[in-house]
Amino acid sequence: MYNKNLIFRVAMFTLILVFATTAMFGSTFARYTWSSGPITDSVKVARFDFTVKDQDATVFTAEGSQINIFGEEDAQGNKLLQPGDSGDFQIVVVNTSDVTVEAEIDARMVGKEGETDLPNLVFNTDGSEEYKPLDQMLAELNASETFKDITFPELNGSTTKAVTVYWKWIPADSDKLIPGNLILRMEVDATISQVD
Amino acid sequence: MKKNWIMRSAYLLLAVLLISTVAVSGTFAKYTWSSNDISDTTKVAKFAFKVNDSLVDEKTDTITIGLFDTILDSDNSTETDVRADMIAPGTRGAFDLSFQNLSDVTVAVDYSVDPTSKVYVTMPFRGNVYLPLEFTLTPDVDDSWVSIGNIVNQNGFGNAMNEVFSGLDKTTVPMNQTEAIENIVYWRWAYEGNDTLDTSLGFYDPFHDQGEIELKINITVTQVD
Repeated sequence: MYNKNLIFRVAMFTLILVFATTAMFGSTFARYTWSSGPITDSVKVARFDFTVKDQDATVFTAEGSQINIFGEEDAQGNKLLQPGDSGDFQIVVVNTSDVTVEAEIDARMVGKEGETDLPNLVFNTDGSEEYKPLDQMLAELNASETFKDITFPELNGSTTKAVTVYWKWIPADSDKLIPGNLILRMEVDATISQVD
Repeated sequence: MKKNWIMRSAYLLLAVLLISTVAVSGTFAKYTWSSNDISDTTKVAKFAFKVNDSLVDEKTDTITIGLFDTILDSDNSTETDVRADMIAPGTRGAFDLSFQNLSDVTVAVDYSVDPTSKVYVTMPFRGNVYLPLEFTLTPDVDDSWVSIGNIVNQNGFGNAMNEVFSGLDKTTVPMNQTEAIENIVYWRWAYEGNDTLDTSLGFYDPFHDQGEIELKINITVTQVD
């Protein structure tokens, strides 16, 4: 009789406990709640890709490359210049980026052994007989629209802009000061920047 | 034995008396009133809301928000120097996270960045991931922009974004709103930043796509007790 009462009491107590805890935590299971799945979007970084080259498709590289400014070599592998000579070369910028770019050109003439008496080379970009000193030609080129806003091309395409630089050795009295064995070097740099 | 018979008769009489009293009591009552069916009705409170003007119901488990749909130039004008749907130095944009509670209950809204959000880049930079985007809720406050650039790992991205999202209006939202709460998250990639790293990121890698950012946002709406 005692055992039966005990079992009955324990069962009742457990039942009450279940009701009580259900009431306490009922709100956990009985409220409105909603969660989204992850709202996802992605975007790609635009590619920066271009080529700068000369008329012979020799590519300008960061390490430096030999482009053709003074024409063809002779049989001895030299490019000999004399007063009155003239020529031209091209700078070609090919934009294959996802962004619009612009190019700035810099150039200088240097004597290989540090000579300062150099040929009076003058330049222009229109092929006329009106030539200018190198610095003036570069300033005008960089201020012009020639290499501004080289727009990004159609997908997998390219946008090309080019300039032909004409040069001429104008004979001058100072030519007699130039060492006969002078090796003239002309360096051309191109800086490509993304347009904001 | 006889007593039992007497007792049983008494109980039977008592029962008959009680039943007949109930049955005929109305006959002797002058004042009487009976109610009709007493009833009342109640409705279950509605749980409904809009996220970015899209109504959400129990069938809605995904929401589409164009996080990078708006890509502008650094001066907020239309971006014409970058291919559509791509980002580059000098781009910026914003996306909405508006919320309107149409429910008959007050709710709490929580926004969080999913930890599986990822930044993919062409190359690692000394073990770090580099994508110099900045996010804010207050674009006019210079020091409010939170950068995710130079983050050490993917968790850093989620942490940075959650820092931004901590400023979102997560207070309880009253019921039956007639106007949405507007939250606008702004992002930008500074044009004048680290040119060297930006350029490295942008250079074409024939074996990989360029950097990519994948942002996952979770929204949880809970009835307030």
